[in-house]
Parts: sequence; structure tokens; C-alpha cells
Amino acid sequence: MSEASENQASYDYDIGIIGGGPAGSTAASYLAKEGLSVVVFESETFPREHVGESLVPATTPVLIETGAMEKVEAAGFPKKYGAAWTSAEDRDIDHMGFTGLHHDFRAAEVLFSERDQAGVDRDHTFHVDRGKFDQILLQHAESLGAKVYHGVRVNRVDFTDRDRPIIQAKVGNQPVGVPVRMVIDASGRRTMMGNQLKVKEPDPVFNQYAVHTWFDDFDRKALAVDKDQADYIFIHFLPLEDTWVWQIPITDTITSIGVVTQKARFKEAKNDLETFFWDTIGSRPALQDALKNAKRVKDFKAEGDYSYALTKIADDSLVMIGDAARFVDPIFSSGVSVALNSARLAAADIIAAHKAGDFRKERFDGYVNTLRGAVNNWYEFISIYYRLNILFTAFVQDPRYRLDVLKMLQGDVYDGEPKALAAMRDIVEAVENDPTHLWHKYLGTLKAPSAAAKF
Amino acid sequence: MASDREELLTQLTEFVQERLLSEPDPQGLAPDTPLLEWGILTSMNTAQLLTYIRDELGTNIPPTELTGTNFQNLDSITDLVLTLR
Repeated sequence: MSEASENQASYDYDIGIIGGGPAGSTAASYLAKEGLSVVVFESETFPREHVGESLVPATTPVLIETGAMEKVEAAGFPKKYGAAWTSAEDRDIDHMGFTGLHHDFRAAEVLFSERDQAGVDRDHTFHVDRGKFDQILLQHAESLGAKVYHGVRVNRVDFTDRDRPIIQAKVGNQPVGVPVRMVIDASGRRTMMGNQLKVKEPDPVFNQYAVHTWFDDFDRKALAVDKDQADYIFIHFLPLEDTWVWQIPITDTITSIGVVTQKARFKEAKNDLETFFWDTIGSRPALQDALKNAKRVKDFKAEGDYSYALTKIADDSLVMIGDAARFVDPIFSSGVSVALNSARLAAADIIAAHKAGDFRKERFDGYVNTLRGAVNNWYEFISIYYRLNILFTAFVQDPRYRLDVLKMLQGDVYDGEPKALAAMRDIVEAVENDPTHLWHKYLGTLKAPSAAAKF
Repeated sequence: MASDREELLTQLTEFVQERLLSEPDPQGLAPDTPLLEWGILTSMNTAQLLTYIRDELGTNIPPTELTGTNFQNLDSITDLVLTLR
């Protein structure tokens, strides 16, 4: 105890958090609730725009635990009850008068409430305007006692003394150094510590780009198989290799639309985002028509250098969480869920470390191992989705696997390998090895040789 | 047993004949008509056939069994369903 109280004098805060997005603010909330002194440095001034607008139910237990859920519910975000996938061929099926679309392999949909999920007490999650959502979470952390600085950009952390890292930032033009007991990097896709420590590696397989914007008065039912599901998230596959579109309700009338494609296709467009967007959308005429009748209300924005991994996500007096730890293809809306859950897991280890007065790397093994397992499952699931899309829809419709696939879609991936994954792996192998297999010709070009996490 | 097989073959033949062929083949559909080679089992037709086998015949065909050998003709599909029953 004497050592702890001695130390208190030499630190400005117990925990310094870089970044006030959902990962940083959630970690701040957990830690402040436990009485730790916490400072958050956010480089921008909230509210600010951010991509990644659709949540999964695995965010629910975290929002309840931190106490932010009431505020999120009160904000009136569109409720998200499920998810739906359409393929480029759905119109043909309609025209041929097929009735059993649910049993065809070209469309799939899930309702989250079909499967009970631990800690989830409601049938919906949300689609959010990230400007508002992230601000609610950060203000919540502040209300719990975290000190939040806006417009303060952290440049690096001086780890010369591993027991007393100094966060180096700029306030106006004035450089400041803030000594803390421990640092959480929640700097998002900027991966501040990943860059400083040179532990960031681009994903060898998923080299995707996204171009996105918002539309007003877009007819969300245009491509929906079941018109009652217009407020689901929709993933529309395009008849272009490994290219898909997200459709996410933001308000009653505004819809977020994003195109995700391979870097090579994007480069051909020479950074002309608008031409690229419409050329790509043009491959799904029904979607193009519906968008042409809507009004675009934001500039096109691109996200590049898409997926990456870090070879290390914890060290003495340091953990990385959320996008600052790992970014995988967002096809299953995993971003905010990974941010919140990595914050939850890391915070538990940090609280224990604080009690023990020991912040060495080994203290965060629980967090690192659990996240590694989750990322491995998640990454393999996404790889299989791209490799053999038809298998995903077949499994969603197969009563033996539906709930297990739904578990992954709920973001419930932190407790070991789902059994559907092993079955999917076997089938992909069988299809790859047998050129006469009826699905062989549907194999996609993206092939992940190894799904192992780097850290 | 033989009559079971014949009944199953008849059910499958009728389904393919009535539901999957755009116009009835004047020569009829034989047990050894090469369905894949003749382009009868398109991806959409295959999905319909699998649904029929699952919902009407009560047999789930695992994706690992969707091979060219198993779906060569009505004979081979009948044998596959019988082994999976």
C-alpha cells in the first residue's frame, strides 16, 4: 500500500486513454466506475463523423454494464432486429415466380431474437449515427468521472520508464507530457501505438476499400425480399468479384450506403469516388434505380488500407483495444462490437492489475487470449463467407447450423470455437478438392491460407 | 426394398420433369439422363431439388455430398438419398 500511495503522487492519472471513440470511452467508463482515475485524449472535437454505423447484439451487455444503455435507447436510433443478405440473382428468381425463396441459396435473413444470448435482454440492437452515438458514450464516461480532453492529439508515448509511461501530446502549440501508470491505445484505425512500436501488419488476403455516403429518401424496400425487413441491415452482393454494398438505416429517411471492393478495382477508378461508386452500383440495376431516385446528402468518402493485424496488443503498462488492436472486414458489422467487448475484457484485467499494483504484460494475458480466440473465429468465418458465399446462405437456412451461425452474427464469439465453423471448414475443403463438386465453380478468389491471429 | 427404390426414383423423376424442365422432354427423362451434362441441374434447379428432397422426402443432403458423381443422373441421386436415409 505504501508503494501505491507513493506512486499516486508521481502520476497524473492511473490510466491514460488515447482516443475517445467507443473503445476508449467504454474502457474509461468501466475503469472510472471502479474508482480509477482516468484521462481520455480525443484528437477531434465531438460530434464528428465516423463510419461503422451498424451494431450487433453483443454490444448490449456492455452498454448495460457501463450504464450507457438508457442514454442510447433515449437517443431514438433506428432499432435493428436482424440482418439480410441479397445476391445479384434475386430479381431473376422473382421473375420466375419461385415461391421458396427462403430455401433458395441466394438470399438469407436472420432475426436476432431467434437465439437467446447471455446478457442480452432485448430483441434489438441499433443502427447509429456515429457522431451522436460516440458522443453519448464519451459524455457518459465523463459523467462517471473520467477526465476528457477534446482536440488534444497524442503523438507518442514515452516508455523509457515502463512503470511510468508519459503521454506526449499537443495542446494548441504547446507540447505537454502526462505521466500515467498505464496506457490504453484506443486510437482506432490510426493505430498510434501499433505504428510507434512497428507491430502493425497489413492483412495479406483482405485488401479491400470502401466508398460510402448517406442518401435521403432511399427506398429501403427496393431490394428487400420481405418488405417488413426494410429496417434490417442489408448486405447486397454485386455480380463483381468480392464486392458488396451495405445499406444501413440512419434515421427514418436517411440511409448509409457503402461499397466495399478490392483495392485493384478501386485503383482503376483513379480516386474518382463518384464515378467509381455509380459504376459499381450499376451492376445491380434495381439498386441503382432506387439510389438514383434518392438524394445524396453527404460527400463520398473512402476508407483504404483496410484490414490489418498487430503482432502485439499488450505490453508492460499498455494494451491496445478496438480498431487500434485489429481491423477485419466489416461485413458482419463487427467494428463497434469488438471495440466495446475488447474494452470490457481489457478493463477487467486492468482493474485486477490496479488492485495488485502490478501492470506487467502478463497481467493482460486473459484479455489477449480471449481476443485472440475471438478474432481467429471471426476471421475464419469471414474468410469462408468470401471463399464460398453459397455455403453461408446454406448454413443460415439449415436448421442444424442456423443458431450457431446466428451466434457469430450476434457477435457472440468470445467463448470458444462455434461448431458450425468446423463443419464449414470441412465443406470448403471438400469443395476445393473436388472439381466436380456442384459448388466448385462458386469458389471466390479470396483465399485465406491461415486464419491465425498475429498476436 | 426394390419397390422403395422404384418409388423414390419415380418421385424424383416427376419432380425434375414437372418442376425443373422448362418444357417436357419428348423422349422422357431416363434414369441415366446426364442431368449435369445436359444443363438441367443449374444452380437454381439444384437448390430447388435439394429443398424438395429435404422438405418432401425428409432427407438432408450434406453439402459435402453435392458432387458431380452423386448428381450425375436420377439413378445416382436416388442411390444417394437411399444411403442417407
